[in-house]
Amino acid sequence: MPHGPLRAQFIRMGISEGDSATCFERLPGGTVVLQKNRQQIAIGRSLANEILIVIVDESKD
Amino acid sequence: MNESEDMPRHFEKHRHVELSFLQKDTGATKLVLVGNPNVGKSLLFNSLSGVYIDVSNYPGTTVEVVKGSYKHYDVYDTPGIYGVSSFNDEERVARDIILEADVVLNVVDGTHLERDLFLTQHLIDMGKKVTVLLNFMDDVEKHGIEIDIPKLSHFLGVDVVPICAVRGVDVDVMDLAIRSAREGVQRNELHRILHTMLSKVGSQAEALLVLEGDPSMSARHAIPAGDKQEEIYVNRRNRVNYVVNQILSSGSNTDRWRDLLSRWSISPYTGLPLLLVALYGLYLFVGRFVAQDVVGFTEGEIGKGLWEPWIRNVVGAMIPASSWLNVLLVGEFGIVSMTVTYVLFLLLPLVASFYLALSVMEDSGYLPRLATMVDRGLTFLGLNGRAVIPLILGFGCVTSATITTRLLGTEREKTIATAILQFVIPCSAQMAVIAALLAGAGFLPMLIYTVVIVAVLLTIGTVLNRVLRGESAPLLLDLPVMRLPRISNVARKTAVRTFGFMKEAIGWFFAGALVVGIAQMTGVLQFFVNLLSPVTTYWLQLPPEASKAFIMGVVRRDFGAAGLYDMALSPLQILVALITITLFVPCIASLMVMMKERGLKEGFVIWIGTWVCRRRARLPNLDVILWA
Repeated sequence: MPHGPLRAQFIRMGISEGDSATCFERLPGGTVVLQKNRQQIAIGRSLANEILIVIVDESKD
Repeated sequence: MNESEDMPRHFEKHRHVELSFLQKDTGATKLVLVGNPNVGKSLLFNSLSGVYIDVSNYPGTTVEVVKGSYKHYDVYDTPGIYGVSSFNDEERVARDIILEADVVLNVVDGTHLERDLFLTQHLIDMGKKVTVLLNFMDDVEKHGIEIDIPKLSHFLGVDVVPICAVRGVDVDVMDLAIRSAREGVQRNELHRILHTMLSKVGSQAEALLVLEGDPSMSARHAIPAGDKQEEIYVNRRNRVNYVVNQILSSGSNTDRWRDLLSRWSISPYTGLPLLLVALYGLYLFVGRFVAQDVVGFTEGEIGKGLWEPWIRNVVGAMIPASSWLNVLLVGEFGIVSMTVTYVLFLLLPLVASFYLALSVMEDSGYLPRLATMVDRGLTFLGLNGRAVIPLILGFGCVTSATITTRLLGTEREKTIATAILQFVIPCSAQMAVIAALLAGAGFLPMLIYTVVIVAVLLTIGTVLNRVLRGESAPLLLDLPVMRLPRISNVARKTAVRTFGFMKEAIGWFFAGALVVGIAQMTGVLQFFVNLLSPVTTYWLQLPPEASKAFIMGVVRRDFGAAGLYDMALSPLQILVALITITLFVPCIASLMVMMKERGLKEGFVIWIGTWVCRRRARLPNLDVILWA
């Protein structure tokens, strides 16, 4: 996860280190939309690149 | 990144602001509505207060602060935030108001508890008297979500009141909610560290913010900013997750239609056609209905038909027609004749209709998804998806869009967006004229015009992105649920924004008219027209009168384009003239707002840049047409 205000913003929105979320949509070019519960969060390409992801269940992706 | 550089300045500004802003309120209990974005705060505010005592832009920001009254309370609506700190203008404004609040009504989206309760716990940790209003209970039921409300209330230590703001809220319920507001339960470990800081700061809320590293709070108390933000945040998040696990039995996470619609508007394959539909709708509404029918009536009938003759008579009766004051007031660029017509009867309907369209797009949840879709494309220009808002607004009025660039994350992005707006975005005042002239010129000139404008846009963005130091902020955007926008909300937003724009920009339009009026009387204007003449005749191969149209375009963009109507121009000349007009310095008001927003130096550089770019962009394409 990135550091600084962006990390804080992630934590506020409900995503912190070790959480799992599903990928709602992956746009060509790298922008990603994550879904956690009913919430959707759009993440720009450069930011998404900073986040280390472990795929838990490939069939869901 | 720029945050730390900006901080001392912001701090000074906000401290003054906060005092002057809230000192107006004497005695009455301050009731503050706080919540995440799109949780129905404004709707609740409307049903609670109904009247706005005061709608104002928080000074130094575009953030709207709405104040109303309910019984003997002063009610404040705050911008939607995810936590209390100073990451952006919205947060700083909300923070200042929350700090002064006597009672906080925390509006929470029942379908997004995990996200929203973070803010709730934040408010409780600040030691504020809080009642939680659990909104969207209809959606909660519909999704089969079960919330153990008494248990939630027990965990938080404050009352939790289920409501459905759309259907209205019972007065007795509200009264009880306000009366029962109290301080909630703090975690023990936070309580301990807060105690140490409390002795230095004196207010629990401010002590917490200092610990969390809020720079302006630590500056206020001359204490080094705390480094505990992450620790406190993670603990708070864990606590919230624990509470949510205890009280929530989750229903279905998916909503087929909403998900489908959301997917469609995000993915470029379906999103681009959707965008075209949206833009066409926007064109029909703003370009056809408002720009032609409404403005035709307000500008033609009211402005030129009623207002201008009347005011000319009134002024003429008092001041002789030959005097300079008369010319300045009601002459060609008259401050109370032409400028009033322009600002009130032409710009106002256009800007209001753009704000209306923007509010509809925003409240339906479409705008954030559009921002997501275009995000990657905009990163090439050094911007992120959020910049789509000022860029769209620019087609309405570049001046209002320039003000809106404040919502962008970094100074770098503000500079790039401002430059793009100043250079290439034609505002609605001139767009109709441009479209009409181009339609007359034929398909090829229209195509070349579009290509040139887009090419200049791409060039500016790419070059500035390379040249400017630092990095632009990446997109991190919470996408609200897609729902039908509520008329009352849209109307309120439109009114507040339009009012804010008028308040902020109107003075510049008048100042611009004054400057040009004086220039005309002293002969400076004619001097510039003459100066430009060789350029327009020899280089651009346009009739000499065209230089007058260009100069006029500085005062009123639509005048510039409209002036070309009366000249017999060949398609090639039309093309050249229109490209010049579009890339020309937009209008004197937007120029002045830019100078104010970006500073004199940077504003001047952008302005000079528009002239340099004109030369570069035009020459090759002249040849292309000549060959064609």
